[in-house]
Amino acid sequence: MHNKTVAFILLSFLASGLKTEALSTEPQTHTHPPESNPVVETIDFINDLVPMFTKLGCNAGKCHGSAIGRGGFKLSLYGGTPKSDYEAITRRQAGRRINLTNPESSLVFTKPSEIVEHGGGEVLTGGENAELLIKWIKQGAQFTSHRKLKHIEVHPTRFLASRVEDSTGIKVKAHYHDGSTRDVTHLTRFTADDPSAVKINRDLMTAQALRTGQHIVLARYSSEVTPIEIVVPIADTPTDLSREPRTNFVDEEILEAMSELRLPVSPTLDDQSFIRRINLDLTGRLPKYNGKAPTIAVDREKVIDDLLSSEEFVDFYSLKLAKLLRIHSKQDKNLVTTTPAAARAFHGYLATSLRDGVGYDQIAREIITAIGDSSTYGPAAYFTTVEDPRLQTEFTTEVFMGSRMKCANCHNHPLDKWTQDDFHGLTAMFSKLTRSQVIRLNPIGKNIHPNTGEAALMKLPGGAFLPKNTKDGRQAFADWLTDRNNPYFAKAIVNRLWMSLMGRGLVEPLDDFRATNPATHPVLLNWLASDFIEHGYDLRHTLKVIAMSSTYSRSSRPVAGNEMDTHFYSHRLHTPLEPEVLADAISDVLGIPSKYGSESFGTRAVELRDGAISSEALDVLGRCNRTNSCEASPARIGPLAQKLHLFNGELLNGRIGAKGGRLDTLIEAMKTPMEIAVTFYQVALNRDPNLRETHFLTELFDSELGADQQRAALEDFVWGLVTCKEFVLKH
Amino acid sequence: MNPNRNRWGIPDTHITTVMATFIVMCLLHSPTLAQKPPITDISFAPDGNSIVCCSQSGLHVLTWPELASLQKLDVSFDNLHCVSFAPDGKAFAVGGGYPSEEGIVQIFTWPACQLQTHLVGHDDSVVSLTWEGNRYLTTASLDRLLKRWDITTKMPVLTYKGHSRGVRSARILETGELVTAGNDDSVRVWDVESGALIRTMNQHSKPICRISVCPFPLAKPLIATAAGDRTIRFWQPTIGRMMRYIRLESEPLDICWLSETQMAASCADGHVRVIDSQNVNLTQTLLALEGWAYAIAAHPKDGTIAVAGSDGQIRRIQLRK
Repeated sequence: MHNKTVAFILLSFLASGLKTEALSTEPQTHTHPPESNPVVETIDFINDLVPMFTKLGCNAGKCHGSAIGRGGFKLSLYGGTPKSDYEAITRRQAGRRINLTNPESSLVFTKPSEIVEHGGGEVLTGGENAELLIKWIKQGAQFTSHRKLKHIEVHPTRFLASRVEDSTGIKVKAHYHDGSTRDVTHLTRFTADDPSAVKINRDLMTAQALRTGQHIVLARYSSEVTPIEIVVPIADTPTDLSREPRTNFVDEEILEAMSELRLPVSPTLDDQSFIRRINLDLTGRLPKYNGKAPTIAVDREKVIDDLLSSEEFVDFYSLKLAKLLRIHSKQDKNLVTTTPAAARAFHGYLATSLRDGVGYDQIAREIITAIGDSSTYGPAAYFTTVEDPRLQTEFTTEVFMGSRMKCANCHNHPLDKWTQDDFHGLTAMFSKLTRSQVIRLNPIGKNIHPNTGEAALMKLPGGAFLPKNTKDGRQAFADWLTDRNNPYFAKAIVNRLWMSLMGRGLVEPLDDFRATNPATHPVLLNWLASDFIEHGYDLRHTLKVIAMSSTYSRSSRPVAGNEMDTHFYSHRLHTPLEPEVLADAISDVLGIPSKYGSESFGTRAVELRDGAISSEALDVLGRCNRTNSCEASPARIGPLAQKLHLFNGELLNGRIGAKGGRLDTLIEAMKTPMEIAVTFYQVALNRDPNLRETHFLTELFDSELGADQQRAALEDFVWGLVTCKEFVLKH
Repeated sequence: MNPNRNRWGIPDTHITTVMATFIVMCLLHSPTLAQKPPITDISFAPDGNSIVCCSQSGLHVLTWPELASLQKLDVSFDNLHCVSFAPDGKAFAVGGGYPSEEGIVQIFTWPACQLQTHLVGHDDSVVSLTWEGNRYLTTASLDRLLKRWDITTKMPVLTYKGHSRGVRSARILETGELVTAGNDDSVRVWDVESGALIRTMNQHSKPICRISVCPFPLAKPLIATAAGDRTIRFWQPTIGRMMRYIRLESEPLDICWLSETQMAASCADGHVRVIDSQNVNLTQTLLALEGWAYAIAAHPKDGTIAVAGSDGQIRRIQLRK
């Protein structure tokens, strides 16, 4: 009949009894003996077939699990909705994928076996999988499920290897609602985040570390995903950290992790560098220059307290929150407008709240439930920041939950718990608002659920549907969000505060919290969040806790053995100054303010209350335009345009020697070149030049030079100072 | 069971159940099967005394209204998707093939049921057939193509290319155009003779599984389309106008006209829904069978309909007046 008949017979033969025996010479330190499963008479579609498709990659995003499927065959992503998968396999296209009279001719079998051409190649490898599929078809291809999965238990969830090439056995047990359990290791898909760091042996069910550091393997069975942490010490010999100072819980956790990794720590920062760092981190400003040499031997706690209670702190953290909330005036294509007055009002609201020490929970609640004229009541502008209710859901969950729910717009989130009902249930709340200058309730507003074609019901994320007659679901959402037991809200903001001071979040990216993207220091994150809640969601409190830690005070200079560390805080990471901070710092050093739009001369960049105010300087320095999240800012990379502008642009060249500027004033005051240089060092770097620099400067300012040449040399020196790494980086 | 009510408790005043299951299939199948293959299409014989059904179990001729087995015909391929009688009633064609490999059509004489013609040329299953007189047959395939065959020469005379995914349904209008629809969500109108695409209509948002041409005389041709977006849309294809639509609770899988203003749809929830096509109102909803109701056909004379689908079920239904 067909030239594929022979292949049918061969594969059927394989399916009926072929067993593969795995042999391996891989070194193993932890393995589990295979556990035999009881013979299941009827194939369970949800608990056997769907996990098999997941394991084989059939329902992955790059294959039939993509939003539009592939080759006319669409499965739910990672088997998120087994019922629709069942229909796709057995019912769609008049049931042509299943052949009940001749199971081995079923398209669902012949395609992945590549008996007929398959874009994904031969994926139905191994006799067990083919046998399972054919057996299910022979049994009538029924939507049979014996039990409902409750959760999976993965062992181990953390493996501390002693060296590279160590491996551990992995075992996955499914727990069902009826109280039964089952070993599902053979049906679990294991994926290493970095395949070059961890090797998965699917025959032996082991994970082998190939590189030092902390690595993640995801174990996925059915709809459950659990991360497995593989830790390999960076050094061969233990590191004694027992004498390192421990100011608070932060240090305990950080040092414990470093001890496991055998990472040495960099020394504590000197006072001068600490003063510069803490000023930039808490106020976005260089330390105040009072005409004297920098202070030495300071009371660090007093410095921190003074900065946290300053108006400069209010300015800087208002800016940070404004960037987080993407405050900017605009009129988009759908005529959802944020007026300049609304942007200023919103920014002003944040500044007032910070100045008054309002808890972050209250700020969030007031924003989420805002109503009224946004030009006078700033928080209402939150609902004109993005164009439509679905974007509002994405925005809200990223900002206040640190969670990217947008995947759940089109399908259940593949790596998180969010369902389409969660996404569209929250969107339904935001659909009940008018999106104009005046935010009002809109009783007829609705969000059409893409699965049902009907108006989605309001639903709390991961929680209950709200009553159908709910007029404004935002109140219930705000209650849920700011509840003490909410697992997202406090962690999302303390992680951002941590990033602000430490240069890297405990969870990265900052808006991607999920079980499959664990924190580098989960216990620390939990502790910081609990402490934040206990202290009334007080941003200043948590900033102080972090700033007071010895971890914060660690030098940015690496020591032998920790040079490659970017995750564990053995030394301070170098991070670029934010564009607004850099612009202000340049102005402070040069003594010439910048002009921003129509704002009064002398207004600082961090004080700007509208992200859309025009400024070429801020643009080339990499200012975030706030139309999207500012947390993946290119400023972390340092764009080429910024470098060129610093080298050649008017930002520096037009102002270094300008009349009335710091250099001009000092020259006019008849200061010697060296006195001028020392002043600039103190203003820009909060220190005096060291011996090597002094020697260099002495040569540069050769006394034989004429006045014009001296001035040119000084201008070159100042240019070099404000473009050097020590100036443009936090360190 | 109460003789006045069927197993779903629907009064017999609404539905007359003559035969619930396609018993013949059971005898022909492996006894290990828990389910029987679905009936994918049905077509009444011109005299209305019998009905032809196709499924993976083969081609079966049943008596009407008794639904007793008359004959099982041997077909050379596994997957049968469509069956259609020629206008003169002297032959019928059955389409199908091997998924992702080959599309095949076989033509049998009627009522002798002798194999007359075997047409091969598609690269995937043939899922819809439409006759143009008794000589030309157009086939729609999941290989994205349509072919117009001269059955006297057994050769395709024209191939219609344009659909970006599988074509699920094709119908010839009395005015001469070919109307097609498929998995690319589009309805397309073609010039039959030249194969030129006249227009494309894109209002559906999910794959379209069926086109049905209103057989009653109207000023302009009227068609209905059923799609996965749960809508039935009514069109005047010759002028490219979508007139109206109705969204159902469940996905319509097949549709048939009952009168100038009434149409019936068999749906994925096993129900039959009757629609007033002028006001796009739902006038009746009846549970017809368990599972998916893939096929529906209106009897040419007695005012009943046949519905078939999952697990080899076929039922006769008397609709409420």
